[in-house]
Amino acid sequence: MTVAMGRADTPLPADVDVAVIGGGIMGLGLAYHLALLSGGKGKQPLSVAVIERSYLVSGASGRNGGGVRMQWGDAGNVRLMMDSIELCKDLAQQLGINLWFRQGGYLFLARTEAGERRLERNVQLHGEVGAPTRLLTAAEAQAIVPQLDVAEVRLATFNPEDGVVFPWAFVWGYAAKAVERGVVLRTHTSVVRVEPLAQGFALHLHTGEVVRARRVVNATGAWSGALNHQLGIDLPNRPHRHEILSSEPLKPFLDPLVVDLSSGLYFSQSTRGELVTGISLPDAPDGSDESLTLHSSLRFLTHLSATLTRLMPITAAMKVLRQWVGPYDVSPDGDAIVGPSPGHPDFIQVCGFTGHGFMMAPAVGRLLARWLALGEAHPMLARWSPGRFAAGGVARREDMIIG
Amino acid sequence: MSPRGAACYRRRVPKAPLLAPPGPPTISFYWDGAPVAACPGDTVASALIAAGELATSRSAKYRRLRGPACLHGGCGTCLVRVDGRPNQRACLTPVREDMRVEPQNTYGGLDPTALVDQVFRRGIDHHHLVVYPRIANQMMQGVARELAGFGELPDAPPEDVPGVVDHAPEVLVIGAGRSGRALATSLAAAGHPPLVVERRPAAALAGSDLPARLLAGVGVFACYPQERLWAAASEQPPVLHRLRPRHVVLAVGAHEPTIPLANNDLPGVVSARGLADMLEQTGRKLSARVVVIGEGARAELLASTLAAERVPPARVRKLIGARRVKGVQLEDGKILRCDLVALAPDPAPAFELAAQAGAPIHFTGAGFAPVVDADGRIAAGPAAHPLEAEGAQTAPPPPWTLWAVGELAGATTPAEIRGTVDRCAAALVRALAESPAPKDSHDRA
Amino acid sequence: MTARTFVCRCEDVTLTEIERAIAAGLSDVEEIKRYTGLGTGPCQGKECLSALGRLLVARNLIAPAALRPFTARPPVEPVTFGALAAGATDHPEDPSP
Ligand SMILES: Cc1cc2nc3c(=O)[nH]c(=O)nc-3n(C[C@H](O)[C@H](O)[C@H](O)COP(=O)(O)OP(=O)(O)OC[C@H]3O[C@@H](n4cnc5c(N)ncnc54)[C@H](O)[C@@H]3O)c2cc1C
Ligand code: FES
Repeated sequence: MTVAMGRADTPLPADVDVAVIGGGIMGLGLAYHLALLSGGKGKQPLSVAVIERSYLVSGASGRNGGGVRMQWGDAGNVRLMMDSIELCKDLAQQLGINLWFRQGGYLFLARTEAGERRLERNVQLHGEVGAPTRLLTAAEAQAIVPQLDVAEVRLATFNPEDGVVFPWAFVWGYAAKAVERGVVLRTHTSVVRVEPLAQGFALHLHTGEVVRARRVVNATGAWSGALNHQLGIDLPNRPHRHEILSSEPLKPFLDPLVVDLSSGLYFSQSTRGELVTGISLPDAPDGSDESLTLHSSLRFLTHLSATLTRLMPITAAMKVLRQWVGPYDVSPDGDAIVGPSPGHPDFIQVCGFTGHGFMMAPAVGRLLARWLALGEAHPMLARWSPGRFAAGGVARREDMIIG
Repeated sequence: MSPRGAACYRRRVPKAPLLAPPGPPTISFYWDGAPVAACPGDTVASALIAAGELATSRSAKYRRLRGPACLHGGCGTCLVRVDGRPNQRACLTPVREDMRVEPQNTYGGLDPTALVDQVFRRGIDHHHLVVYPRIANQMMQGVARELAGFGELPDAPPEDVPGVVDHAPEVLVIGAGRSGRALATSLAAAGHPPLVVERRPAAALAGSDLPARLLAGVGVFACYPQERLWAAASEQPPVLHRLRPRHVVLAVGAHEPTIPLANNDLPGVVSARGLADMLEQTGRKLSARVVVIGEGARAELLASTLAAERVPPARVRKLIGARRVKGVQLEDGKILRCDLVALAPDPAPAFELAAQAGAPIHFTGAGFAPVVDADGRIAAGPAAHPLEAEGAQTAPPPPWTLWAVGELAGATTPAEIRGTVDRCAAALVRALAESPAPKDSHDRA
Repeated sequence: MTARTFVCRCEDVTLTEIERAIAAGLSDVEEIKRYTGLGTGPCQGKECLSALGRLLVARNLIAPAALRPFTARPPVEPVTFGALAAGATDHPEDPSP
């Protein structure tokens, strides 16, 4: 049994090859894959340090819904998620910790004609890419979730490979294995200043320590703007508060994660039996606000409850156990922002994952580590390039972003 | 095997009654399919304990029998299914004729999974349990999912139409316990009758000093300073209350924390304070042997109220019993036989609402509490979340003043509680005189 | 029956499990909550949080003045989706097509 969740007193080397700022799933998934790859093929192992401001799972990676799906509207995302889900299948054994990955499928419900068209298009696209998504009638959807009121449902899709996970364990698992392979993990320590050097960067920590790194990865998600600004890097991703809640635990009654396209409502049942559910608020701010607040609201509770009890009337007699908030790191075109920063090629972004970074992290960590350690370029990297915004006119490719 | 419907093959052995009724029982309800006699004023928990039925569920991981413990709505281990609704707190649910109360997560009297307890002597580390090989891991996850969870889905969606009520009281008092009632009486005498909200149902509130404006059976569940309101709700009928008070007094008392002792989870291990209050409330008398575990004047007082022997926690080696507590084994090996063990810990103030309102919270040595001044006033504004970006906009100060009385304000004895109430009432009356309510916004309800 | 000492009964967290988490280097209330599950069940910490706080202080893992509770998330009393639904002001419909 390994438990290595980082410590505030882990000694940090003065110089490292790669310093990762942010110990969320992105930072630690990357560190784990770097540790797996580097040192192979007669190379010098890369020295890697991860610096996290708070405890592990304090950021978005500890506050999300744990949904994992290949049902996307764009072929690149579908392929990426097929890779990620494949990786998830034996990741528990790789990481030596229970991840509670349960493939109960994702059930998407369309209540409008526009939604219906989106689902029809998806199924065709998924078929071309090889994802086993199928169209369902309202009655077939109800056969999967008998408590649904499907009176308004026009069409549904279901993919049995999709599922849910227990997010925290991914982060702990990546952390433990990365540390086992030599990654230095320091928690409760924030990077307060990034100073460019002739070669690489000096990271100034709140403790007064300084770490020099040949390359730096900004994996601070919704907080990444603050560090970017210090280097004059101007990227359009913005933090945005997103609320979520869990219910009292009940015996298993719900297999898939259900998404109502019209309202942005999603709900699934965790292994512990809680309903985990969130929704997009109708007039939610567009994420242009630089200041991130994390307070819970009654407005979210009432809006979610009205939508949920209408779609699934039995839930009216169920109780809320706890509500909380996490930050989405919203990218204007819905695509992540990953790769060398404009003007600072050795300052590497892994940001902008909006509301779906968790599920992508296993694949992203691997492809990014391959690029950093071996120079292998994945097709998604060109698309995710932080430089794309400078050229202007970025098109939104993905319309299946939920929440 | 269905976790419900266990009664069909369970042979019920009548148990020795533990609490004598105040008069002839006039109510009968069903517990796991068998009738139980109860008196008006009983909660499901008091009636079950009286009948010697101490276990109401099995725990998720170790499959241990559990039953009502805090008797105060705070611990969550008395959850039962009532008339087809899961997870109802037995200690707060008044008995009704013919109600059907069922245990949860018990799989009948026989629990093959009680084996778990023997197999995992050193404990279950759920993060590292059967990770390898993958196939075994998947099977384990399936089993874990079945064993976890608690109640089952409700039988049917509720029929009552939900409602919402807005209140704008001048003074909101949260809690109608000893301190809340005393404060309400003082304020009413000074011409400012407050609105008092209490989670316990009216049927479970005894006494002649009930406040005139009382919402009983309504739990204040949150303060949302950014939305400038407090939220409360009742379950049956389903009503949401939005409260926008000018002054808020938290009279929410304290929780009874557990005392870490071996087998402190056995059915029949209850809170001494909860038990004493339950007896007062129901008029029942103890016919059981009780041992109080605790230290200090409060524990001493509770032991004398319960006419029980008292031992300090440091002298206890473990509690003994299997399906229910049978006694206390002391460090010297001596065993004190009993039917109930009553824990008398130092109470932990119910700080949660104060924290949500933005009160600075500190550790008192027994638990957490808001920082209050001599009058019980709490300086609170929406606090920045530690993870919020620097420079995050903090909301404007809340439109209410915030106060604490009773145990939340650090009082423990009745005299101290009275003192916090008197000082708070005096200060509040002054505050009310200094800034009278604007005419149009006064006490809409 | 195996003798066990419970700190959190809702989630079946024993003293042994807390001690293991401490031995692994965790000393922060938020971390211990997440790793052991303490305080995440139906009582949401009402029974166990102060017991954990006392334990950390008694073992000199944290100074009493530095000890903070984990976030007191709403709701502190149970509330049903049914009751909450009544409070929806905006019609719960179609923010996006
Ligand atoms: C409510 C909610 C629901 C979601 N649901 C899903 C879902 O169902 N499926 C899915 O795939 N995704 C979901 N997401 C999105 C997902 O959680 C994120 O995309 C993902 O966790 C991002 O990981 P990260 O490592 O980039 O960010 P984080 O986990 O936020 O990690 C960033 C870390 O950087 C640290 N940090 C910040 N500044 C500094 C500094 N200066 N120095 C050192 N450290 C610093 C922070 O403390 C933090 O731990 C959801 C998100 C939210 C908020
Ligand atoms: S909540 Fe009912 S006994 Fe504790």
